Amino acid sequence: MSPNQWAAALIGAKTLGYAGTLGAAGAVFFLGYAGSLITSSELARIRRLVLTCAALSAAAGAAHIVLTAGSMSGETAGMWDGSLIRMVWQAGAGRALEIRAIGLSLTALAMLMHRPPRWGLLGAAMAATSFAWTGHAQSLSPRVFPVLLLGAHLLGVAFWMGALAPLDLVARDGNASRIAAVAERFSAVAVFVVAGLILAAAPLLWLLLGGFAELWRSSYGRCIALKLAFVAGLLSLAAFNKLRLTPRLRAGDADAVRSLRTSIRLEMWLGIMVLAVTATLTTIAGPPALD
Amino acid sequence: MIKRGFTAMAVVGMILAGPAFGHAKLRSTVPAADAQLIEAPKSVTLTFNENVRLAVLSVAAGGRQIPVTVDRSAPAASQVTVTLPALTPGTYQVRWSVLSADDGHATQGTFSFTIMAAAASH
Repeated sequence: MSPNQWAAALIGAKTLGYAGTLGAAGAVFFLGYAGSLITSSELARIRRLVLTCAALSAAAGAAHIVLTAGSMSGETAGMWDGSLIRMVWQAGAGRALEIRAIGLSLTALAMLMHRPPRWGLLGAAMAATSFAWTGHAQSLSPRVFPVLLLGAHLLGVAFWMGALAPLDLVARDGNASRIAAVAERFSAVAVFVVAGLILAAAPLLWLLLGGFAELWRSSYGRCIALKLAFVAGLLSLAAFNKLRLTPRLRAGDADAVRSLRTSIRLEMWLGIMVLAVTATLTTIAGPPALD
Repeated sequence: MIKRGFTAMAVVGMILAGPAFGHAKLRSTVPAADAQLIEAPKSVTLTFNENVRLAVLSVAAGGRQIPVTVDRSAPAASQVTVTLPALTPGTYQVRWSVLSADDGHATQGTFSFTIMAAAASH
């Protein structure tokens, strides 16, 4: 495999890892604040979603470790080289994967309950923030503040992105007033969570870029700019859902249900693009502040 | 259509980021990249901007691999050195791969150096 093929495989595994972990964590958060509003069949589907996302996360995490070993050796056989895998594991990927595995195991166990207990939510938080145990924030000095900011950012992303699939499941039902109730419950918390997510990201970005001019000067900055463009699209759709669609849903407008489902699916695609760009910039580009 | 557009934008993002893996930055090498030496080097030294662990270092000349030993259990350091066997005149390609001790990211690269024919007399 060429270096670009290794990079593409690593980005793919990392994107799936992000999607699986944040999807599982966010779905558990969703049950925490909206569990009382959903039907038992929806609950069963969301449980399956959490378990599928957790399995995807575990598989993608393991794949990322062996792909990293392979990319370093430059040969497919390197993927099975025990000493290379041990090096990758010891360099932080192992610790992050262990914390993620514990967190996801707790979330999977919590799926046995009707509403996730506190330890299930704690597991979801552990899994979502496990990405902060490795990566660029760990290279900053002192690292405590940026790692905390990244942890807060990841919790916000899990809350937001992880709610989309459960919201889509609820929207399939077609009962406009009940969908409105769930959407309002989500929006009430989301306003604060998304504000916190952005407030955590801004100083972290400044620390990693070393100045906002790097947004167009460096390859890392240009990736961030692309990510911000996708996030702007997500925010626009979220505002449209809250300000335009939710009042129509509350009024029982059946067309609004279709519009909401289209909007949620668009948000999901934009969310995947955000995760893919994040995987790209954390795989092939280094932050200018660390040069 | 929308999905294709998003996918295209992601590809553009990868192009914007450039083709190289980039985390720990290689500051210098001894021998220097593209150096033309009159004496065969006894070792290869790589200096980085942060502490790394050397995972792979291979040396090849004309498609022939030169046996070198990499200590993967060595502690992380900003400078890593690998001892070379006695080299004959020719052009050598060095391929290296390191793991950052801080963020766990892999970085890799290649460079080459040439030992001039006159070195054979040394």
